[in-house]
Amino acid sequence: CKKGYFDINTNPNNATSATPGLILTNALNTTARNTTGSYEFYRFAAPWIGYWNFSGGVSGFLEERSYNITSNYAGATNTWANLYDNLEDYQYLEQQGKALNKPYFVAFAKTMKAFDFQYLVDFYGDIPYTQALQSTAVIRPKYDKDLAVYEELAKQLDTAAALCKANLGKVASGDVSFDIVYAGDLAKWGKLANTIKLRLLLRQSEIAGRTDYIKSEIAKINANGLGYINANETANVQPGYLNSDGKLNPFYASFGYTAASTKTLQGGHQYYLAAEYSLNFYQNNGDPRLGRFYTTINEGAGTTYVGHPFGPTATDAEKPQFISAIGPGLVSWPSDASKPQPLITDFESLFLQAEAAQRGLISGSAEALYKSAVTQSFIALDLTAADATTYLSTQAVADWSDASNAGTGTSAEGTSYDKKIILIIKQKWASLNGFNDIESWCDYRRLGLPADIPISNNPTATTRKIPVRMPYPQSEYNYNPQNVAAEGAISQFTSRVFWDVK
Amino acid sequence: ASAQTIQVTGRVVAKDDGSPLPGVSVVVRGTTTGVITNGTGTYTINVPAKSSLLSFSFIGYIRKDTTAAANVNLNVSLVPDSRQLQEVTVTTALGIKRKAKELGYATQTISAKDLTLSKPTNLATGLSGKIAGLQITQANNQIDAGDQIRVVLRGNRSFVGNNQALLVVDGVTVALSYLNSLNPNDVESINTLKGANAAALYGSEASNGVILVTTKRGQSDGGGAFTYTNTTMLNQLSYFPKLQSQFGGGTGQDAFGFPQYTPYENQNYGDRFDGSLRSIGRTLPDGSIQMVPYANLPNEKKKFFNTGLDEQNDLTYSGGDKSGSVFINIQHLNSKGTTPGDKANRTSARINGTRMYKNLTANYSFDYTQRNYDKSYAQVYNTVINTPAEIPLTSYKDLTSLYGDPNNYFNDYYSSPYFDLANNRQKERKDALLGNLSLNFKATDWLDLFVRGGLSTSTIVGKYTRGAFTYSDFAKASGKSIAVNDIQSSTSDYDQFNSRYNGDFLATFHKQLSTDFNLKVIAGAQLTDQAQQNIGVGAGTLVIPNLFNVSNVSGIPSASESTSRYRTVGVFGDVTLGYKDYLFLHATGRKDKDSRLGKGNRSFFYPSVDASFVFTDAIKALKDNPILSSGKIRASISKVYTVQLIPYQLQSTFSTGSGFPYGSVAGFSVGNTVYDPNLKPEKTVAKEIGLDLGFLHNRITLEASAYTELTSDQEIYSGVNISNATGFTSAVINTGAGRTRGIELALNASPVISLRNGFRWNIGVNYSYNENKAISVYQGLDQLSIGNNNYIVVGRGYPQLLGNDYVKDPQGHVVVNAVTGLPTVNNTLVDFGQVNPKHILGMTTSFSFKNFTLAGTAELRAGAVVYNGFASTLDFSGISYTSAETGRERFIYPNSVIQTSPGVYVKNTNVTTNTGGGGFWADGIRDNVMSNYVTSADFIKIRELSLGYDVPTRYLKPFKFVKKANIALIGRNLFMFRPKSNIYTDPEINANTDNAQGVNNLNQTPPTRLYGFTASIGF
Repeated sequence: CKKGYFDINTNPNNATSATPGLILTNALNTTARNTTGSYEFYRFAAPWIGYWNFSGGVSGFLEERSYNITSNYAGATNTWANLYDNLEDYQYLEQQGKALNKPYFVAFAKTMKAFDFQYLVDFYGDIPYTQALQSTAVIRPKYDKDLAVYEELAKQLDTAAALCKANLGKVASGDVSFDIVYAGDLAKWGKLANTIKLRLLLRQSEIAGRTDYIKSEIAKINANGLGYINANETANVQPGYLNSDGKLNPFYASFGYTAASTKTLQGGHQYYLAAEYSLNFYQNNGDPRLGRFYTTINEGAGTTYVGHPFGPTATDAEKPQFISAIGPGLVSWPSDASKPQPLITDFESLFLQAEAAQRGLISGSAEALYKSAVTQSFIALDLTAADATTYLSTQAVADWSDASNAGTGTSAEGTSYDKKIILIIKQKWASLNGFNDIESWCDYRRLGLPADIPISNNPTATTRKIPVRMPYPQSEYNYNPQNVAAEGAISQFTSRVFWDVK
Repeated sequence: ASAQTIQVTGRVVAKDDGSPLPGVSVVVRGTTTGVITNGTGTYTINVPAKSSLLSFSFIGYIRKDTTAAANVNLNVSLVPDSRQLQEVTVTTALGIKRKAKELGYATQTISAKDLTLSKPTNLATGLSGKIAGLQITQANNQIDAGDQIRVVLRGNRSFVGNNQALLVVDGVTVALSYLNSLNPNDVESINTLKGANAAALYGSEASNGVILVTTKRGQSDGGGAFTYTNTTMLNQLSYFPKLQSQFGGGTGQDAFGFPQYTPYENQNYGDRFDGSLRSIGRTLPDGSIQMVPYANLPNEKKKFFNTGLDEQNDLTYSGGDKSGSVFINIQHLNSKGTTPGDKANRTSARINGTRMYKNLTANYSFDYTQRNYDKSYAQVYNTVINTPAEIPLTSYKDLTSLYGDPNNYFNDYYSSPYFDLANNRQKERKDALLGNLSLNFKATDWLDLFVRGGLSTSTIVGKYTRGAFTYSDFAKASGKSIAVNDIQSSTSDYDQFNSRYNGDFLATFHKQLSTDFNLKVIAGAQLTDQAQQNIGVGAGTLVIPNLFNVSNVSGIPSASESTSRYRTVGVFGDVTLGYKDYLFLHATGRKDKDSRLGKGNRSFFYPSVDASFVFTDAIKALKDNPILSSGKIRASISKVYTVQLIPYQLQSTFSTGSGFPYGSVAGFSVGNTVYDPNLKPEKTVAKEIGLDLGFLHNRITLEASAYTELTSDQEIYSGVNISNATGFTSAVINTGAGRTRGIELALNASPVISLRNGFRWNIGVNYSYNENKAISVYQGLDQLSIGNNNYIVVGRGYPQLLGNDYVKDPQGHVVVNAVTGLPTVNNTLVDFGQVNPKHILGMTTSFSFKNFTLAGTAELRAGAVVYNGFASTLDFSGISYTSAETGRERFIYPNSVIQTSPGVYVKNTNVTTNTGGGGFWADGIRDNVMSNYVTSADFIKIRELSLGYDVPTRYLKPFKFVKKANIALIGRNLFMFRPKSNIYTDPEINANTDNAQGVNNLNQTPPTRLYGFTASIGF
């Protein structure tokens, strides 16, 4: 045979190497597709937390309606698989960033790994961390304690912010375009890292004796001096979404419309309709966001807004024709097909800061931060600052100085809170609809707020309580059995994440 | 016939019983002119002169030479030869002909006579039940199902790799689907080399055994003959699942918990049929609404499907003379599917030829096939199931009729299956070309040189289309769920190209070393080169509706491409040493080089050794025994390496990120699979012993084999699943080992009875027992998923069917909730059993009398389970028989228990399920639990029955040009016996042809019964 006769095994179909920049663009977009823009982030939490409900035009959704989720439940299996897959890309980015001496790639990787790992802990509690992402070197990674993971993430975020600060303005011009969030603005990346860290720290607010730790960690944020995401600094992923199938904004692709030339509803848009609880909240409190979060019935063709109660198996009358759908503030056809996908909105960051200020963890006016947060929520829905001002001053549910928001109130479990905290969390809940319902689910687990979220009365819901976690996916029981078994039997109602101490 | 020759005709019978002998070779001595006797033992041959010497020879009989003399009518009787084994030659690997007695491993040969006795319509059916250890599974009964065939010899060895036999037609490796297109009448003989042992010379590809098909060469008497065959088969859907007949459309309950009728439902959870006139569907724009009696319409679902039709026409020419021969077959098959509107056709042409020049013989064959189909890709079986029992489904055939109009179709949730069929189409054309040329040069009397080049290519061009449909505003506003979205038209095109080149070279030395010792040495080399390319382009939405061209895309078309190529080269040697013609030692060795593996692992060597001992020849006392005519024991051991990988599986890849590129923004993702650059080939060590006996002049033969095969370094080319937390989902690695053991028995009696009046009864029984066991999987993991709910489980057979079940107490009773009476799902996978049968028993028998032959084939398969995946939809839709067994009333779950305290269970005597309607059957409690749909896959089938008639020559006299004619009535899949628990369907129909078996789904409609005839005339 000729020399090289057998050397024909070079892959002509797929790349066998990739630069870190090319990995970054996809990894950021994948985070958006797998978290705030994903079907998975809304499929159970949106109905549980009172935003959306199921259409009577389709059967199924039994697990969500009854809270009877198992390790095979897609909401439990997909996020696990998706986030670890995404993490592997950031792992590669971090390694390549180090190898090529591009510290900003390391900073991006550490920030985004913390973002992903935080949600893994918030969903599942203990997770593989120290032995994770090591390919076949460790095929059955052991589980780390959720608290330990959180503490490690805080350190990683400090390092990320420090790297951002040390390299301000030093992103190679050729790499700027790979950053589809902040276009190489390391100051903003530092803010993103700090904001994620603030989110991590506030999650631990109810743990007894944790205040000193939180304060010392906030001191480290203050030390880097980059601050938090402020108004108009939303961490938006924008690779160049356009109105073409496969290239749509991910949230729009899940809950909006297809790229058809006529208005054609995506499955998710037909399956999820307005929940009575949230619709009534906006409608009964003169909230102009009502018409942004929801359409009128019959996909906007009707004149009234109608939601339906969560729990019972939907009836034939509870179809898109008769119930309000996900509204134009979230999925405006066809323009929102190409809008950026927020990972952390400016108003969420402002609500976090308002809560931290109200708790005395950071300096600044809680009231001002709160008002700015509500205003940015209005703006994100294409309403005006003036609309927000009117709302903040005329509606008791939003008015900081209204008498009903003074003193203390109670949570779903009967815990007493400063009513300002209750106000902040309820408005945070009202603003995160369709932006990040997992944060609302976490707040509910942490604080029991908003206290009056309805619980499913579905006859098959034997435990009438919103689940406090996702079960580990069946794949772990199949492929990592000893380690997941060491976590013991998991109940979605009682096996709480460490920060959920209620 | 030319003027100088004389035509001699006659009949050949057996001396001992006077029965006619079909297949006897009649040759003019000193020439290559020869013919074969037909089914009634008669022959016609042209001889050059009156004094020509005719030689009659037949396996198992002593050759008889006699002069044609003036006789134009020459009847001959042959004397049985007890020393039969000596005469038989068997085509083995690479076309090497070896004496049957010297083979140290199991082979089973089927002659043209045995194959065509039962008039099978294609080779796949012709082989079923006739070879011990052979399992042929037809995956599907769709119009294109001919491609979907699984052929396994001796069960599975590889966990995920290919376990299917290699099909070699006239020395050229071809796709297994070829079995479905070969006309059995064109086949000279089929030989199966069953184990890795027999196949050492073919290399890696043959580690699962080989089916060697030799097609007919032209006759060489200087004349020519045409045969025309028509086979027409009707194809009728049968073995439908058992359905309920008591309840009609509905899904909800009224305030009192009674089932409620809903006129536009797909589910059958309405109230009990009462015969009253009720409305179905929604009120139409003109105010009308369809009214039907509220009663079961029992045959609507069956009637939805058509009777399929396969019509095949074959025209064969066979001719030749001393210096060569030619054999031409042209075939056309026209099929109409059971699914309305599905159709297919296949046209093929084959030319086989031989040319002889002194010491040089050239053989060539050339085959071209074009296959077209036009079918719907819509899953209409699902829609048909989801049609309530009172609905006159077949009345909606006309899409322009008032109620057939998709806007007005009664069902709110599913569109009309007639509309789905018309609107979702797939058309495909495949062109396949097969060519092969070989030269055999007899250099000296002890040296033969042989060289062969083979080529096989195929091109597939296909297109999917989906038509546009805009629902009326009225339909949209009515609340009709399906009308919410209009249907956008779309199309996608695909092209596949495959090619394979083969080159073989062989040198054969044979030498009589002494009076006792005989030596034969073969040295050779083989080269293959395979290439593949797939290209697809899709347009998700079209700008101009129904202009099905991908350039008419709205937005950006999707595109995909994959190409692959690999090469192998093997060199091998084969040595046979014979002692006194009764003891034979045979050894082979082969060294392969394969481009799919890394440099360090690319070359591998594997040997085999076998021995055969003909004790009836060696032991004087046994010679010429009137009962035991021949006897042989054999043993062999061999090692074979297999490369299961597809090319490029050594290096990790980065895939284009989902959605990318967005404009000029590119993005890549680390692939989800980890690859091992040092992957080794999969290793199988096979051991085998056997005993072959012949009794009563070999009228009765028994072949018995026992084998064990150990396959290690299993190449998990599809990837072992690993924890997502590793950052990857699968790893392509060598891992694990599995062992296969089994026995095979083949007993043939031909004839059992043979009377002087011409009555003959033949029988053949083939039995095989095969069990395998996974010894290890991967780094301490105890199971490996291979898809379709199939798993490799350590310590169990493979694959096993695993799935979810209810929570049960230690005695296996279902535990129900003390309040709701409902069982709960246990997501820990339960092992239901193996998907491949342990026992396969095949029986063929034939009775012939005068010109009639009645033949039948039966097969039993036992020891496997099947998951009737489609049955979950039967329950969901409420059409299943089981869903009505409790009258839709609340019921006590059978044999259930209630847990009173941890570990304490009491029999449930009074807690009924909180619902007996859809809430139980369709809402996850029943239909999401796999154990409800797993049944035994055992069956006994009468696969084939045929009645053939050879038209006597005297009746043909008036039609001068017609030399022979026969006709046969054929029925296939007529009867099936299965355990009562299997209320669903024929367990043999399967979702696919890979290793994951024992699962069906909605893509497989119920299997069919076939009836028809085949008629052929020769002229």
